[in-house]
Amino acid sequence: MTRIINTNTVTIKNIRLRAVRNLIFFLIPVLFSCNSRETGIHIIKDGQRAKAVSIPRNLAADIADDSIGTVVQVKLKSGHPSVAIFGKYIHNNDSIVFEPYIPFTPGLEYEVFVGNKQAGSFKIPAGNIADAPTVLAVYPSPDTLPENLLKVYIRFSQPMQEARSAQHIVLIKNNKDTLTNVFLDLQPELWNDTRTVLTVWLDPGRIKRDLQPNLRLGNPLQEKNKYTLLVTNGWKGANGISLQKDFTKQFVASKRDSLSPVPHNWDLEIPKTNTKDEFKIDLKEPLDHFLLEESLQVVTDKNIPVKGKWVIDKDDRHCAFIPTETWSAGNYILVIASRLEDLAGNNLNRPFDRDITKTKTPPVTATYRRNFVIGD
Amino acid sequence: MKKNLFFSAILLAALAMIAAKKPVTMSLPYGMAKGSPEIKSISALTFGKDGILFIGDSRGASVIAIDTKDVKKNDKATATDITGIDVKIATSLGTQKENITITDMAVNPLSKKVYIAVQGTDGTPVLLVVDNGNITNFPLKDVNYSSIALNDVYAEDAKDARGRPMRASTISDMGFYDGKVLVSGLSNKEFSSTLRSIPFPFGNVQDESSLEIYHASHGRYETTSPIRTFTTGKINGKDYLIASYTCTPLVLFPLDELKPGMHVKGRTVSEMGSGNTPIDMTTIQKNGETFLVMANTARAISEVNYKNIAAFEGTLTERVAGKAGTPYVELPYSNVSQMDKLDNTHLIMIQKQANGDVNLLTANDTNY
Repeated sequence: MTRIINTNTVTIKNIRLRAVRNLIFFLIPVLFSCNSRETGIHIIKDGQRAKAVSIPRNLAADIADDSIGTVVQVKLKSGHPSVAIFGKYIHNNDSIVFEPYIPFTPGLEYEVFVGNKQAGSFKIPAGNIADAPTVLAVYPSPDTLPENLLKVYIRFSQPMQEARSAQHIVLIKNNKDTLTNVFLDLQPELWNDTRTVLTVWLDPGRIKRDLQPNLRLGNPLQEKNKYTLLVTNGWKGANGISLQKDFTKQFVASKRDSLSPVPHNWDLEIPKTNTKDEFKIDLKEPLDHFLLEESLQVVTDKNIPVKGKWVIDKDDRHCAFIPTETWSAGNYILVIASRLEDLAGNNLNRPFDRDITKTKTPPVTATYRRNFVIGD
Repeated sequence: MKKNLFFSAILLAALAMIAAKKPVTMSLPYGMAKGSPEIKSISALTFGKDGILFIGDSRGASVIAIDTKDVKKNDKATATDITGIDVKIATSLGTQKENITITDMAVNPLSKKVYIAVQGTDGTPVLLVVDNGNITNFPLKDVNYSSIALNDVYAEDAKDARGRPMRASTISDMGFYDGKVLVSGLSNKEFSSTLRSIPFPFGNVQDESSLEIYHASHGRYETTSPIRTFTTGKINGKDYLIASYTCTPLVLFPLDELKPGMHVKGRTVSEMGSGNTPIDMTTIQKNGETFLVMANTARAISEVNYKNIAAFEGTLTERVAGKAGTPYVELPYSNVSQMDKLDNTHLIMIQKQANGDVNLLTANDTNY
């Protein structure tokens, strides 16, 4: 009979269907060599992760099934000898599989103990540098950015380890001064759901006019100065392999942008009927790359969405809608979500900070609309 | 006859398998079911009543309530100090300290046990418990639980370029007040935050609110402001949400004015300096007085006397040199990454020492 034992609870549970599902990896394990060929210990992988280790049952032949979770222990070789790794034991007549609560770490060595006796050891191979993450892009893309730039996105080639941005993201002014207190040390960090895009905010307390940090230190960026954004090597990907090279992006700070984007000023290039021509927009200024992807929609005058895809130009100032079907003659509407922001956090409803002694409270609407006609 | 027995046995076996697969739902408190919740990340922890632990899962865009069954009341908390807790946790998880991140910490107000959320390099979340100096794993399988998905307020009218609904915000903090789970979320795109109020037990209909919260700096410039951390407290007999922003002002909102869909302006009572992000906030008693205590990324723990918050009746309307508004003092605890109250008079925190050690330590009013 197969049994499951949690090391922390040491309770034996009868096998259930869910456990059978969990055991599927028993049947199709990716077994590969470890340094214990003679003991028969094997590492079980799930993709790149060393998910579990299979220990021959005969290494603990004298141990009763009920005692496996307490007598058989897996320990980190470089760790404290009394500390067993938390995890789950699953066993049958032939093997004991130990699945730690987080995967084994590449490059580290582990020992299997039966009672006080070391029954074997295994090492997780270090990761392949070819699998190292890289920085694919930094947004905003332009090389001139307003001095009240609010946020920067960094896109990686694969999921990254969280909570490391403060050690690996640096801003250098005029090629000589490494700036401090520029980025917000935000925990938890703001990652997308696949942990491949990180959002980093420049300190909003320094950007918001009249707050103490702004009065004392000024904007994080100053107009006419040159900056280098540096993402340093050593930042680990989720696979445990580090970024191998530094990544740099250089830009110049331009004057403060305190105005909301105005969709009414955008230039629209209307496509022709019976073509799949792009519907192009000149936004007149770079806008937030990721919000642009989500904020624009083309609908018919009956409010039916037109199928197609948006393409954002590298300069984040131009974008185009490519329809799936050919355009029919008729009235269309470009619908723009009001939360679309420019590079300084000014959205369509309100600027980032508003002088309430000089301006009225702006209207709050969910969307803005531009009508256009595709003629025969 | 034998044939009938055979089919009966098959039927019984099938029923047994179905019973084994389905979670047991009868008579569990708070509408919970027994099973193994899918938890993709643990961004925030907070306790409700009766040992119910709420887990904020940013990646899964949900809040999960777990019945810890850790309900034995402990009237006298024991001070807990663990040197090198990061190393000890990492070793227990079979790795090294640089491969783990402690994502949150919460004390069970009944048992005074300390719950610590950790994630590995690949993002796998683990929940640990510190009790009398011992670290154990809290299994998140075969537990009594219920959960609620955090609907994205924009999902109905906005999809990304690939047609997927926008994801919910990153959960920045959670609290429990008057039978409701309060959840603050930061967007990874626009400069905004949500504050949801979710009744517990979780209902079929999600009664959540998304508040757009503003603050005015010195009465002149007004901005929307993402909340980083918050707590609830009583000031002049009235319950308030006490929130700290990513740009460090401390702002009060009367809880009875927070309604779904509202555009709420808070009363800024203090500005707590620059280059800093507030991390955790709680309320403790000291020498018979009540204090708001806030841990920060870039400076020592700040302590504000509630009496001074109550006395500061206005909002910051004039420029004040240096730190402005309600006065605060800094406690001798810097580089604190997690903090909660162990009991009414003790703080427990995870602090990085000058020598690089990361320790779990207990502080009380005799320490400062």
